[in-house]
Amino acid sequence: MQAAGQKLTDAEFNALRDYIYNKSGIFFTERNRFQLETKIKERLDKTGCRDAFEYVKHLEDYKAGAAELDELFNTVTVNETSFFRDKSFISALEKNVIPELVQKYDMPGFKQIRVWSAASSSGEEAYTIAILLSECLKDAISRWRIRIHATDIDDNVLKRCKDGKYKSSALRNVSPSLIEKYFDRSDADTFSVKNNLKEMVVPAKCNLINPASCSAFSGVDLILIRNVLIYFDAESKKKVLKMCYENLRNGGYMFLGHSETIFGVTTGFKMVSFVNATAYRK
Amino acid sequence: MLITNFKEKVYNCIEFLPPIPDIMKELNELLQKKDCDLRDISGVIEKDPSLSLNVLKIANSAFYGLPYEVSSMERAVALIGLQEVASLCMVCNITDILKPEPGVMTMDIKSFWEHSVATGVIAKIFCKEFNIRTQENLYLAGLIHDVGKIIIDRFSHIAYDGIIKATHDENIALIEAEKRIIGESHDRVGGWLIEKWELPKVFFEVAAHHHSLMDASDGNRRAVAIISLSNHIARIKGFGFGGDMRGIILQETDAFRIINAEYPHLRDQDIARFVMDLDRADNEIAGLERMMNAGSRPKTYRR
Ligand SMILES: C[S@@+](CC[C@H](N)C(=O)[O-])C[C@H]1O[C@@H](n2cnc3c(N)ncnc32)[C@H](O)[C@@H]1O
Repeated sequence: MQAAGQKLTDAEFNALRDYIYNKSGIFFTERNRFQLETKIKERLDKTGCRDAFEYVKHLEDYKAGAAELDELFNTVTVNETSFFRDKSFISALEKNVIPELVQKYDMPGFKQIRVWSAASSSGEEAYTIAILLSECLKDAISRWRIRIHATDIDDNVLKRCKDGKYKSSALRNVSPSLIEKYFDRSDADTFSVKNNLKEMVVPAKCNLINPASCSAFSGVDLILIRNVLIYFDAESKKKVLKMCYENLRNGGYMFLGHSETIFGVTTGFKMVSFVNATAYRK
Repeated sequence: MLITNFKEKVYNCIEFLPPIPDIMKELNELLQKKDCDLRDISGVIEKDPSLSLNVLKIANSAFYGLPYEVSSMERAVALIGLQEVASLCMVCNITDILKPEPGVMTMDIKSFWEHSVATGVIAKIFCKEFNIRTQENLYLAGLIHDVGKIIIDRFSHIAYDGIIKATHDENIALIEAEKRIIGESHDRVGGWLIEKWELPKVFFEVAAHHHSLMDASDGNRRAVAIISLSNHIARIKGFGFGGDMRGIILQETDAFRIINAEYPHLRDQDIARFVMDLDRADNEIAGLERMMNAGSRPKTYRR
């Protein structure tokens, strides 16, 4: 299905690549140039721009630009995600990290945990944490104040997170008993998360590259920043990881995607190895 | 259920194990000699035909990646090395000796050997990756580091079952559960066995001190540390034995510190990546484990 793409000249590709990079930190390498080419056609068609140069100009136009920039982000981001994605990561949380946080904050008058699912896409990851916390705390959860910030740069996915409606394919790793407990079936293939989960999850827009946009999430106990660093170049990755370190409370944990590491970035993180999952502790 | 006179009772249990075959003693003696000869070694091994067969089978496996199939012991020794062949012999013998009697309830022997093989393979890959020189046969050291578990299980399968269950229920280390439930631990028991078998001292120390590195002798501490670290990594890679799922900061273990003291460059390595990339060793580990279990079994053995 290569025909669907828009062949970009080297100069066009570079202009677009640099523009996207400056605004979002997402860096399209030569290797995933094709990915950009397939996606950009849609935006060129919609805006009626003849080539990428004209499109970049359009983006720079202060009136039309802001809205189109969001559209561009929505188009070029890869939003693949699902509930209980990555079994080993889930069991590290379930068996270790969540019980540890719960034990740590189980004090009269405190009982508060804040989680940040940065780059949460359509919210599956955030709701998964909500389920794990509910399973751990059971009835006691009513005495806890739980906040799970679900943020992303892409408005479309944030809206889906807010709606909390999912197809069964997103739930393929959730056991029937958990589905029963935490979802309402709205039709044959649509499941809505129940209100008690929704109350914990707070969707918000946040560009990880932009420090101002991240400051609202400081002092969290757990950061999930999974499968997003791959889109950043070394420099942005460094900045984002430093920001995560600063935003985390002492003793808090950060998880990256399964094959991602923080190697090469000097931070105060300690690497904690769980069975087939790595976390970083402050 | 703390057991009184545990050592004495376990010793009795060890008495009932077949002794380590003379051929192993002969091999060990030969290996200690400075100028030992290919032909001497292969001669000794060939005295035991079923042993030779198993060694050749393993030597020809993908693990060693030989360019062509070898059919003579002398070629095998020449290609994969004296130490290596000697340890293959040892492996074949040890799995044979420790093989459960038919019909007797035992712990999960397959995952036990999988963990042991993984520890040995990881130790080898670790040293290669980070240029750590070792004389010791780390693969063999990895294989035998936990033999004490088999002995305790044989002594009382019910007790060991309880120990393993506790690790799952409480997410604790096996050794903690052992100490609490029977008041002894597999490292000490393993040491007793290896001592009785009169294997080289480094194997005794690996078995006896892989959880207490400071008790190892200066000469062998590094080898013990490498096995100890590989033991942690094996668990992290999903080749654990028991239900301990806790996280570990590898860089803060005694094992890492000891190795790092001699190899300061280790601090700057991407250990997370190394651990991830070990996925590539999965097939090797599974293959070796299968061969070991199958190789040492009499023909009647069926899965
Ligand atoms: C593959 S999804 C990961 C979803 C989820 N974390 C997971 O692992 O299942 C990557 C998400 O990163 C978001 N993203 C990309 N660049 C971003 C940026 N600069 N700031 C915030 N989010 C970004 C994308 O919109 C996309 O939803």
